[in-house]
Amino acid sequence: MHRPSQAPAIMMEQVSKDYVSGGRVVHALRDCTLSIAQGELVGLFGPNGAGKTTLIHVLSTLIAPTSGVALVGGHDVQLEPLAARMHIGVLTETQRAFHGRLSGRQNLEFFAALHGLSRHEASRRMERLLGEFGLADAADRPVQTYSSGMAQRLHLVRVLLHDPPVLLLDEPTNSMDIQTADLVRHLVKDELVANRGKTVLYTTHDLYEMDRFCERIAIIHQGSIAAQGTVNELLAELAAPQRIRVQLAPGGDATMDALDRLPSVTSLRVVRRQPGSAEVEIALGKGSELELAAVWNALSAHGEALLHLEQLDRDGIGRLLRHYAQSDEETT
Amino acid sequence: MTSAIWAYVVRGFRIERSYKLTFFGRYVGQLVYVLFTYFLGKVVESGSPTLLREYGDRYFPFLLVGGLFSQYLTTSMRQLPITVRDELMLGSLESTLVTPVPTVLALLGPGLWAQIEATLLLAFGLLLGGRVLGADLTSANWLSALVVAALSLVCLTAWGILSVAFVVVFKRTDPLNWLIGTTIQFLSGVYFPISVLPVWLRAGSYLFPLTYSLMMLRAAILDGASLPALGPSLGILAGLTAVFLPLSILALGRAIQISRQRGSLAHY
Repeated sequence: MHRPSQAPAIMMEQVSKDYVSGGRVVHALRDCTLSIAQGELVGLFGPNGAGKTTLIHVLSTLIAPTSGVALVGGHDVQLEPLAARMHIGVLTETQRAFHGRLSGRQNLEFFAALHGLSRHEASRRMERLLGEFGLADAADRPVQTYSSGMAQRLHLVRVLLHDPPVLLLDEPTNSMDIQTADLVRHLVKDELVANRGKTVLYTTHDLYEMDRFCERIAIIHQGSIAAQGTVNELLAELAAPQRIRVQLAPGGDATMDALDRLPSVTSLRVVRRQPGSAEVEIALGKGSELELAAVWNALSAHGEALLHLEQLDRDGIGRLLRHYAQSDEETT
Repeated sequence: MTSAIWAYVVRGFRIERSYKLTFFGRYVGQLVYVLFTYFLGKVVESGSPTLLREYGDRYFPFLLVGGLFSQYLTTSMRQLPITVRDELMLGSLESTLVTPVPTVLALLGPGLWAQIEATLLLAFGLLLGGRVLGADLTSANWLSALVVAALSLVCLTAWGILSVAFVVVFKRTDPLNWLIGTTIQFLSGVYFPISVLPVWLRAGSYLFPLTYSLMMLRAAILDGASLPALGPSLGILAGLTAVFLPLSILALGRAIQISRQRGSLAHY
């Protein structure tokens, strides 16, 4: 089992990227600071337009940051782009690397040569990877006859061909069926990271996938790294309200006022009134157990009969998703 | 680096070969072009064209050398921006830009095969015209021709690199490229000696490197002129190359920088 070492494989310090679009400045990245140790698997989560792809493009030298420093394998992506590129394997979201009329093998031979692999070494690695990804039989067919899942697997073979220490994978399981996606996750986590000590930055907009798969998650929101940590750590930090729904008999104004006065209650609304009962939705701040107790006490103090209490947002991942997954058209 | 350059050549060849009809059709096209110049030459020569006196009154060899070399030397100028645009449209450029090859090679590499193919087509056309259709190339000084062709190729490739810089920034092939290409064909003496042009128009001819290239290539191939005999024109061509080449490299470097800043390097 490989253990992450101290020297970061990826380091971003206050990286910002601004564009001018339609006469106004768009902040695609804002002071992003991120450090990923060697041998670490970090998920980068964000909704569409949050800045995930821009961040990957900065690390892969396709985009120059407006300010800040980004290092890959200790090399500054702006000052030493070729050295930085030696260390990375990049799978971008809109991957169309291959010429459809050439076979999978011919396309891979081309990329192997660009990475300076000898023909013998390239051939050895290609055979192994094509076998691992179940493409050995299709290797001599034109890529344009591949299914989208096969093409995606071929992209992964290309990314791994030169055995880079750092992998930047932008939504790599897109277009894959469940079994293949599981195979890829297993390969990335158990083989590439655990056994071979690769560093992986893995983006997805599927936080459930990330929760099961990544050791650590960085959440990018409107171009900023909004939070980093495990899902549990992120939930603990989450400032988003937790909601409960109570059914009271009957929901008097005094009770509502008492609830409204509680510091932990961030909002309160009557969802439905029925003869003899009222359904009220209450949004609470941090520390759900304490806040629930406060609500309970307030209701008891006014002699309300609590007919039903339902805790909404029981699913922590769902809460994170709702909190961060807001489309932001101002960023790319 | 060498293996990366070779990889681009092999890939270009494989892609072109996959379009079999087009691949072989180019040679058929070259055959038709040489036949066209042959029969046109016969018609013109039958009228005793005094304007071709310095070329031995033979229009076919004049047109053969002018036509084939103008095609050959302008290949990179025409093809480089097109191949970059194609790579952008296909989306295949992005994945080569993240490999450890210099960005300049990632941009110019896709056009390498077109230039090699153009060399093969040139050789095919000259063999066809000289050996089969009887153009008299027996007194050619091939060393002079090779030096002039190489220098001309570098000079005109610099124009191609300038067009690539345009594509990298503006994502469209240079709108002036076609116009310049047509003007060059007209003013550089591809189809007729520039001596037939009015003096004021002839001045424009001397602005284009291809004019000097074709004058020297005809002198070397049809009259066997040595390099010293080509002196002044060779000097001018070398001077133009010394201006255009660094200018084009600077322009491409700046274009790449601008695109990286805009985040549009791999956009189309």
